[in-house]
Amino acid sequence: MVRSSGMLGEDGIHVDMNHLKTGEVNMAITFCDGVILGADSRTTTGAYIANRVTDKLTQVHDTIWCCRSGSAADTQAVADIVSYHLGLYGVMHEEGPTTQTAAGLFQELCYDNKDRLSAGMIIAGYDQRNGGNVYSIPLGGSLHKQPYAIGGSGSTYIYGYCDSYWKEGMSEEEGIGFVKGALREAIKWDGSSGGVIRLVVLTNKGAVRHLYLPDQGYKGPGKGA
Amino acid sequence: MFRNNYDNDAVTFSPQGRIFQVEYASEAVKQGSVVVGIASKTHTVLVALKRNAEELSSYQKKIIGIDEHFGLALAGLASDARVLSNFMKRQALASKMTYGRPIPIERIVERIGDRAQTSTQVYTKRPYGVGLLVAGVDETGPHLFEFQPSGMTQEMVACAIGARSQMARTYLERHLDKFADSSRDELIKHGLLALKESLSQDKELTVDNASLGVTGVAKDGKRKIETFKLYDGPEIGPLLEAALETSEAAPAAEGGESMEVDT
Amino acid sequence: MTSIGTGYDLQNSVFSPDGRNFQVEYAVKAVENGGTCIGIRCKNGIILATEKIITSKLLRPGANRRIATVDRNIGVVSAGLVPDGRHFVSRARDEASSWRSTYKAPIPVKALAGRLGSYVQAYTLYSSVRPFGITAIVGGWDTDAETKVDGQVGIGPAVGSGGKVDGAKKGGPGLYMIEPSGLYWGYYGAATGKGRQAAKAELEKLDLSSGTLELEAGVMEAARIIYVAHEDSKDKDFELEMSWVSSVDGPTKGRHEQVPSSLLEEAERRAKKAMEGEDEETGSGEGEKMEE
Repeated sequence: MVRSSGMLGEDGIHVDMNHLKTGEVNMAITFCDGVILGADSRTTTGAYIANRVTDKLTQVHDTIWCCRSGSAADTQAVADIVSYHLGLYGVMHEEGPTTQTAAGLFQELCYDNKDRLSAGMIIAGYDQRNGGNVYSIPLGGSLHKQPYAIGGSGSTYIYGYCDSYWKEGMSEEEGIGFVKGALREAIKWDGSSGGVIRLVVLTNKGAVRHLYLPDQGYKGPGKGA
Repeated sequence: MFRNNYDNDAVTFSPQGRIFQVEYASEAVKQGSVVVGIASKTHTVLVALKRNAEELSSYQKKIIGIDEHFGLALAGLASDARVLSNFMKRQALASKMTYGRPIPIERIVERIGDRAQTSTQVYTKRPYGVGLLVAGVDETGPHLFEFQPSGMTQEMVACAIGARSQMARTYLERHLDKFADSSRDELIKHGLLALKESLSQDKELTVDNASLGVTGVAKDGKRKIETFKLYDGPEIGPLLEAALETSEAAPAAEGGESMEVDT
Repeated sequence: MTSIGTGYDLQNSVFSPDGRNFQVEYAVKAVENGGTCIGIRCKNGIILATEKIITSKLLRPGANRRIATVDRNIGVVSAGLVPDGRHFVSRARDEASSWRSTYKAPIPVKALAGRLGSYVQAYTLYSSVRPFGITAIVGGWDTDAETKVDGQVGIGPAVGSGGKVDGAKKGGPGLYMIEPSGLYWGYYGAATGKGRQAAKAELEKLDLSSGTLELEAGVMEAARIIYVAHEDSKDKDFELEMSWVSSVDGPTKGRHEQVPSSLLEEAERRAKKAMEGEDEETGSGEGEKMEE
């Protein structure tokens, strides 16, 4: 979720872009066929919801995506740079980049510029050789390979939920249920999380988007929406 | 010697794949006075013949200590050697600071080799006109390396470069199998005798024109290093005496053999 | 040489009227006088071998290695101007380490060959430099095992990553040869240097493209081929130097290493024996001729 914490500048008009934070809830998990990424859709400037249907899942290569949290400007810039490198890698080499390649690039950028960035990233991707993988890069720029990762301000409220309900090697249906359930809890308790739930499922078949609306009790419209 | 179209610079290959400028630089080494190096299992020694421009002038420095554990002997353009030895001193010091141990001899020799190679591949530079013998001791024992203007570096058991060095090499080859187990004193003797072979007939080794450097594994303690010791001037006197005495006292066999070589 | 006297061969980067860069061709001449180097791509690894001519009795035996390690899993050997070879190796190491710092993983052999090809090619473009006087063989094994990103913490799910496709392409041996022009190809068996013709002829007999030759058998063949290729310069002594890289579950555990001395000696012993056998055959052949 993009909200402004520093908010308005001295003139009372201009927003300090450095303080536009994506403080929301997002997560990525591994499951039996690949990975699933999920996020809420709320962007706020103070109390105002600037965008209630934001897309916070960012594609950096065919089946390598990321969830961004922290400064919107910083995380977008970092994702753009990685996207460029992966694109180049893809055309320069026969074999496309792996999730590891992407994670390595993200980490290099986040660590080297740690003093100037406010960026927490979750990288999730699928490739035939390594299957689905999830990496988390928290604020300092360290790199963690995890079965699943949660991030954003809303994640505070779902550590317990995830810990109790997490299972390794879930089916797609179970995985979607887990992610959706966790995000619903975060949206319920976190003031800066809300709106729709967006998912991306990454498998051998490619990337498939899902959308779940609050007015349909987060049940639909579902796949491909 | 005749000029050809391919010898103007170091960035032109001849049709045979030769680089004449580099070969000419090697000729500069042969103009320098002879230097000899030998390595045993415990020590390395460098011996050099110094030249003076005229009777009253001083003798050119031929052996340079670089760090506590190694030094070099040069043949060819002394000013090029100074550039390289300054570089080596800096590198040795930097390595000691970073890694807290004396730089391995092979490593430092590779560095100057790489540097020299660059000057054979870029138009704006010229090859170094100097050959070096680098001798020292490190954690893996004593080492002797030869460095050429082409950037070629090779580890040797014994080596001689410079004017008339072929005679010294012949001596070294003939005594090759004795070096490994030689003591410090024996190694020095072999070095001086090899050097003597390369003298022109009207010359002999004196305290003025001979120079010698030794380093090795110290007897006491593990990994202890005997600091590179340069014998120059009066200090070399006793060493010369000891070496030349034995050679004269030694059976005529050696003298006889070297005469054969001369023919 | 038709080029001599026309003036188009005096400077690098200059085309002759028929589209040739003579300086590059002359650089190849420097390679053709160098000690023979070969590389063999086996089923489960690669082998590099070189004939090191002993130019002086005073050289320290066993020292002065010509095969260099560039990254943990990649080796390089080159024929031609030895200092140029060292420059090449130093660049290869820089490339491998720059790849590692960008991607946090070892460079694939193919990518390394590509980068080095570009580097060597750049030395044909300017009159201020000369081409490399070497042909280099780059060989290595791209790991087929699950590898961590350098510096990563954690292992992901204990059950392993889901959705992997069986038989998806994973690592394997890579062998490339880079010429002074910057041109490079992938090889099953590569040979360069003075004895390349004889070595190529022997390599072709091995049916390497079937990918069935075992690494240990390859070591024996490599030693024999170097000995065969040395026949033409029999009067000169030489040292055989060999290195290998196997898969992660092979003898070198995916690393580039010198072939152990026991195996090297065994290979040399067999190579010498094979040569003696050949000598006898040729000896009798001459006898027959004389009878005629």
